[in-house]
Amino acid sequence: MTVIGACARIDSSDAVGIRERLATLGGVSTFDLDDPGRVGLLIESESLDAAHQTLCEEIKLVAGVMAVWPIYVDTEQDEPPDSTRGSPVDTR
Amino acid sequence: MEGTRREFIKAAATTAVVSVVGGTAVTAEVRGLSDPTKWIKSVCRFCGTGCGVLLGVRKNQLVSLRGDPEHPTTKGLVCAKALFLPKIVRSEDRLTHPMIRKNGKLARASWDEAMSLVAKKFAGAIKQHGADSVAYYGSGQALSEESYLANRLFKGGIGTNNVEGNPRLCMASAVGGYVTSFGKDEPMGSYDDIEHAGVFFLVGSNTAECHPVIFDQILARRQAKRDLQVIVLDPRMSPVGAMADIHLNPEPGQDLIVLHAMAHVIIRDGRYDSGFIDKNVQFKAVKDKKPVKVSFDQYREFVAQYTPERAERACGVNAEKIVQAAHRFAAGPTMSFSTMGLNQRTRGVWANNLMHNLHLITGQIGKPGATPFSLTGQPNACGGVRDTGSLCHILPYGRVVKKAEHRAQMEKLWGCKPGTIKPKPGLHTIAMFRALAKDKVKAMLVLTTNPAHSLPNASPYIDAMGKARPNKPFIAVIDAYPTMTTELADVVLPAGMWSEKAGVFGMSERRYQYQPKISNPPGEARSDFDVLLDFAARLEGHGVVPAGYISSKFKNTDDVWDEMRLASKDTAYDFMGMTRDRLRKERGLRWPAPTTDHPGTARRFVKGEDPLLDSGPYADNSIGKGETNFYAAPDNRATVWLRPPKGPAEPADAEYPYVLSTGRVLEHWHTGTMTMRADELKRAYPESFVEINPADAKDLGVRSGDPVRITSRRGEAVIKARVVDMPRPGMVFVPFHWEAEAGFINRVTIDAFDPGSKQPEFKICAVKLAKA
Ligand code: SF4
Repeated sequence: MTVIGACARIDSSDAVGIRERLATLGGVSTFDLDDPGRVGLLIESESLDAAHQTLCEEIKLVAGVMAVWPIYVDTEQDEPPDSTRGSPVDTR
Repeated sequence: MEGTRREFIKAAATTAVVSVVGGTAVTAEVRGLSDPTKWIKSVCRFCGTGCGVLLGVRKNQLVSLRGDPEHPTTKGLVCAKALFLPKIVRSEDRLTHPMIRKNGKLARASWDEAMSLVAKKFAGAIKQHGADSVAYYGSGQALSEESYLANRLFKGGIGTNNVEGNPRLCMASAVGGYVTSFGKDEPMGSYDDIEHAGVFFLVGSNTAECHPVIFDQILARRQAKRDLQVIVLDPRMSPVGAMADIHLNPEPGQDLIVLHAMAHVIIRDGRYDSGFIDKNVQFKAVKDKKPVKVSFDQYREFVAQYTPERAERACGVNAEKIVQAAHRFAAGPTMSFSTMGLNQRTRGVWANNLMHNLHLITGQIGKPGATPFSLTGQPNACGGVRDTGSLCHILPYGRVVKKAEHRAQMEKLWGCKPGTIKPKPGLHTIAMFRALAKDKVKAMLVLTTNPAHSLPNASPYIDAMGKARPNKPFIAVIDAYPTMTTELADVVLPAGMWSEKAGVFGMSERRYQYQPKISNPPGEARSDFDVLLDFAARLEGHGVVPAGYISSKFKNTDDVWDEMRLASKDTAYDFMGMTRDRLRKERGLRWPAPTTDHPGTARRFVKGEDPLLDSGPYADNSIGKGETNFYAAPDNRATVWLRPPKGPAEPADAEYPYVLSTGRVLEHWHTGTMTMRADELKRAYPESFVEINPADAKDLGVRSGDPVRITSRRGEAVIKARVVDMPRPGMVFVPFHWEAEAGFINRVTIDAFDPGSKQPEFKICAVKLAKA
């Protein structure tokens, strides 16, 4: 399971229509941001691969979306929890 | 994933977005969900934008990454590549143990075996053939402390200036441009200027794909300022060309005359700033290979010949568009962004000079929103290689090997015998690999870079590194991943990367940022820094480096940082005030920052902003707040250069009628060493492509998806066509990220280089095309 938080820069004159079109994409939900030229996006997907495809291909094609910026990614479930790579150290 | 866990992560994602952009969505905090994630501030490992990131650790694993909302310039945004960093670090094919080539194959070895062999080979070469028989080839991806240490070891310990690095391939012409125009390297402005600009002049910069977070800031500025103008100078209609108000698309390599024609219009129409020029600018031409001062009137006369109409005839750009661009540039405030399109040229330094000329004659510099600005491709080309002087002709913090005074300063600080640092520059990158091919360089250490893939005209250099022959030079490579270069090495040393080591990255706007160590490297891998320490100690043991020269002085990167600060003291880079403790706490600091209470400098050379104008060797109390003093330049004046508009080394001709230009795509980064390790990114662009203009495709009978043979005088590649109206007719564009043999484009590119910066001309070579 992958969750990405992102924001899209949009044509603010068509914000309602753009949000409706974004909502038709599977696994994508939207939320308001203070800036009317941007919309918040939550992308839930079974894998990072699928989430990336939604982020970088499907959302960009929605009319009125100028650019999409990921801000948060969580891929905890992509990795086995007992992975031995990279034992932790004190990071101060 | 259990429901509450999923709910938490969704709420955390929403929180992250809201904290960056602002909003009222229901966040994790509002819902009373506690965050089990430990968030640690760091820096993105990819490009020179230097985005601040927060790394999320749960169950001792790096599982999460978010943009750092408290980062003062990137403000929480990151691009898609950064999302994959945790996964890339955990990649299953990381190098985890040293290897030595035996009977033609790399075989597992212990650290002691591998390091003994490396030291023995280097010491043997130095004793038998002299210090200049060995070389170091480093990287804008190494930590600043690593580059500084390697530079110190080779120049001050071994006594050779054969110190180079991959920034020679990407940024050397920007350095040459800054140094010749302003006296010292690095931009005077900063990202702060984006919020004040009225005009963006994007020169050879595909900002949207190569520096996407900067591109978002340009978009934001456009939303805030509806009359903002974007002028693009680029032969290819890249994604930034598509949003340009004026797109100037000259024939590849013919942009110098466009820049001169803009200067012509600015002067002809009285749009120049004579007050700024009188106080801050001098004019120079080159006569008999020597720079000579000339007058403004001589400059006026010089550019008078480059009318917009003449430029149109020479390069195909509409004259009226040039006039409009010049007027808008002069109106300002104008911020120029330039990258590889300007640098990777045989006249890259001149092209940079001509862009600076426009800022200097219009006074569009040193005030909010007005500055030329070179965007950097690697995370630490600026702070790590350029600033630490880790190239063959320079020494730390603006010093050069040619100046006795500079050598003496570094010899004193490094504690080496006077005369150890040689006055003659070492071998620059192409010369170094040519010397390797002739077996004149006997041993080379390559650190965190992949020259077998990234060098132009790669075939002879691949042979130089790997082809079996008597007396073949010895190649040791330190890297985190298997690459084309590790495949050729005699010894491979596994390295820690990014979150597995602590140190400083210095990005495009002079901001030095600390990245902490979060986990240990996998298997037996060690940080490059620790490998360098071990190497130095063994060379001391062999008697080719003075005993204790490195081993008695440094245990960790913190120790090296303290010496680096001292090296910067009283130079134009002064960052004495950037203590390790400050960097650990703050989101980076921009030099100059000479004292521990100084907040860093957004604009250099401007009284009231640059602390070096208030006290120290560059102080000037004769000018008022907001006035400029280019204190690093001769006579404290920046130089407007009279440079003839020369074209490329290998223009298209009857036999090779197309121009090949190479570049990048959003999803991949450089030779793909990291991004090809994320299947998601790999699938986004699984193979290379060649963009062909529809008019050319029609002539060639090629459709999208058809394999096309691209042949130059040096080699060929077969790559699938993408027929698209992006390159201008007569030009093809190929991203260089893929190493698959048939599509390996650097067998085709040219290794002609700029005589000043020694940077190769990746952007232009002549090719012929045929449907394969
Ligand atoms: S813009 Fe560059 S530094 Fe910023 S997140 Fe993307 S790759 Fe990293």
